[in-house]
Amino acid sequence: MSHFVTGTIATLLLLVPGIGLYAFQGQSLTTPKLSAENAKLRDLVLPNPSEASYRTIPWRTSVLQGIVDAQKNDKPIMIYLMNGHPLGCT
Amino acid sequence: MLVPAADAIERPGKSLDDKTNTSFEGRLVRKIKTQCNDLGSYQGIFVATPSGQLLAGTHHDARDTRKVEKLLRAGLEKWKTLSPSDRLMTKDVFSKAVAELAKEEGRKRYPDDGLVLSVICRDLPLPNPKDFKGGNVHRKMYNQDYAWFRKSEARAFLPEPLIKGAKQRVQRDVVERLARFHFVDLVRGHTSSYPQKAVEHADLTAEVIDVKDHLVSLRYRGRTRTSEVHDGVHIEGKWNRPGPGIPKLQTRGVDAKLEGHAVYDQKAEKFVSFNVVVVTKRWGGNVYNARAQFLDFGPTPMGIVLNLAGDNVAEQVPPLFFRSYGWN
Repeated sequence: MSHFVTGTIATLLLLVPGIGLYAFQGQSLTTPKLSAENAKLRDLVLPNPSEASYRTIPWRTSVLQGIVDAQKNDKPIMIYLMNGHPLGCT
Repeated sequence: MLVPAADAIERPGKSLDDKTNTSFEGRLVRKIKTQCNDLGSYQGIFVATPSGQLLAGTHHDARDTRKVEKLLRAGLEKWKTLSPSDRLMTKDVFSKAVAELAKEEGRKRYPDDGLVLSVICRDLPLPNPKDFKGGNVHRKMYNQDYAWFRKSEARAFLPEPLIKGAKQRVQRDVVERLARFHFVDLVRGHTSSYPQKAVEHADLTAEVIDVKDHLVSLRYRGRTRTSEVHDGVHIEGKWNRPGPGIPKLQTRGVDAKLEGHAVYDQKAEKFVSFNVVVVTKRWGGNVYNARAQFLDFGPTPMGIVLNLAGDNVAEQVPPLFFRSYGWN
């Protein structure tokens, strides 16, 4: 039942178009909402936690930064090199 | 255990694979890579010592997580067998690396006080899933980039004055940046950006919905459209060479509809949230963005989401087409 209620409320909130009032950083600021269709598309496009898990790795964003840190810490370096930055568009 | 570093082969000046690149970093990368393979491509995963000795590496298996794990373990085992003098740089060499890094840091153009957007793109479901053209690996593919705006450019996303009901078109050059460099088909890999003459529409309207103290709530709606026709000049990664299934008259473009909202903090002079969904129809494709292999030339739907990027270093990577931004 609670699943149904929660799901229904979520669905209703998703389907209510237009403008919503909610707290933003403690302020009750009126903010527009995405249409239900675009909210659904946004969720389809954005990576899920599994897809985004590589972001939890403490990457150095250049070989040079990595090699300097590796020397400082007496550790080997792992270099992931691609055409286009692997952490950006590759 | 390992210091993980991710990097692009391309550089604003000379690429890392360019033998005339005499930087410390360029020489080191070439030294490591040539111990691994003699392929033309420098793409891959390499485990190495700071002194530049390869411990393990691969080009072909870089997307195979099990093989990469095995490779990392093999690299770590080899590391244990080396003496400090073999695995580390000398003091002199290290000081050169540190000096070059300081110089590189000084060249960074990341707009700390501006607006940095994360740009994520992915194919949207087709009305009939059987019409999907691509391999299984392509079904869930997405790509990402970052869009940078300097402080003055970020202000172009705000109507004047910032009072409830104010409505204004966002400055065209800022919207054009999105259309030309960020509303491109990168889902499966690289393609070219659009020249300015390919921009047919670049309209985005900002409207103030509410103002509470220093916070301003905004709505965005708009449309961009880019369209190009092959002019007879072959450009690798943009147009396909003639071949079976390749249309004689090649075209490419993106028709994009934008809807979203943001919150701007007048006190901090920064956006504190940004959520825009871009629903596009894209057409065209090439070998680099893996559309040509499946003759997947559309038109098909592609979704793009613009969000505020985080401020950790991994999200400060420059935009793919940053060199075309014209920032001096």
